[in-house]
Amino acid sequence: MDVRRTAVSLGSIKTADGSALAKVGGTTVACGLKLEVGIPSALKPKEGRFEVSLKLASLCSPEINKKSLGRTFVGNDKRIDAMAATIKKTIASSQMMNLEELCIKEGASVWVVYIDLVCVDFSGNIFDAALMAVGGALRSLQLPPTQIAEDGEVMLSREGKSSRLTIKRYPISISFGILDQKHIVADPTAEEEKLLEGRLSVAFTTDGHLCLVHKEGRESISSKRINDCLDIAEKYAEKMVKKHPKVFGFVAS
Amino acid sequence: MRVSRKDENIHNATVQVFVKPITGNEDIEHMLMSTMVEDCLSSVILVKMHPLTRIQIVIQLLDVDGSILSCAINGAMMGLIDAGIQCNKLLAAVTVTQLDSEMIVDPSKDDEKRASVVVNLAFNANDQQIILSNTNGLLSKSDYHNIINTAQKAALKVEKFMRKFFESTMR
Repeated sequence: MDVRRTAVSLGSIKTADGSALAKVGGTTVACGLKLEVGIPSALKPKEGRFEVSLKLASLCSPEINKKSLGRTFVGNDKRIDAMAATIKKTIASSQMMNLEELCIKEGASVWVVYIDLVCVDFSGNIFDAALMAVGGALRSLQLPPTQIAEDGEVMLSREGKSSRLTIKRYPISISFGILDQKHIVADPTAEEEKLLEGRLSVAFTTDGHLCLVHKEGRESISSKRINDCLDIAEKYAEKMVKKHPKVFGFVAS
Repeated sequence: MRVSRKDENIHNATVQVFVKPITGNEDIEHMLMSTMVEDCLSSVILVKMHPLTRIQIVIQLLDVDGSILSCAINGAMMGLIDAGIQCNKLLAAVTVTQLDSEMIVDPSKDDEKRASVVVNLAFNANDQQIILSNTNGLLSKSDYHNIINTAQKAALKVEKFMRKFFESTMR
């Protein structure tokens, strides 16, 4: 069970507040973070928020929007939104960042992080590349210094340093494609994705906790096989920490 | 139902699931829920029996008090049987939460809020294989094994209820 070569680069998009580009084999996903000031929810007045959106750029695959691929992710909007929701849940479940660090003034203003993912090259398995890109982008995120005017409006201040988020752990996922009862493929390519009857995405955090087991699709799978996949995913997460220490290694803020 | 041109499939029926919240518009979480329910139901419905048609399932959320995804899947399953749509197996879905080492099956909204882990699972009634698994929260591998075992036992109860219900209404 091998995963294709991965690569992550941080800070590639200068106009964004944080950004990263991640590749899994040929699949390339760019993540840009934009910060906006928002009002916190009344139930959690000290916490900031984040929203995830995922888009497949038209140039990512020659087969985008083709009717024959209705079942795969290319061109099917509902499934892309569902994937964005899964990414958002994985980030929230993994508790990778402390949302209180996004607070500007308790009960009045917080940072809202808009996480925009764009797949610029589709070669199968967007989920893993997207999650890595989000991890890298959050690591590169700089929160600008702010000051609050008399009328309560938040303005960027010229003094003070930008701060970074303390990220406790990164979720690292590996997606499996379920072809039929007997065959499970790790990291499906574009051709394999067309044949898949089910998908299983497993994410472990860099410190060894399981934060996502997401199985979807028509084909059922026994719990023993899921456990085998969990073992593989655990080893993969450990491998990734060693492979990309600048991205997933410990952040000294 | 007649399927629109863009969704039609000459070999199979198209299964569409819509999840509508109590108030407001659908957001990406509802899209996720509808794709999960769609996948589960597509695996049981015999789609080859009705080519060029659409089987539309609308799940209107009325009162969300925890375990909403399992409730939706179980409800949709019973709706399909009631409609007489041929299915090749029975699905039973269960939600399990965990707080420290205490597991709660079929949690309420408060249970879900307090829990550190919420797992939704859907099983084939015959062979206990997993069709859907969705986790929220940090857990360990052994926690997940235990949750699956507990959920399998609970799914058997859900299945028994479904069978009992339909057998009694048939008479």
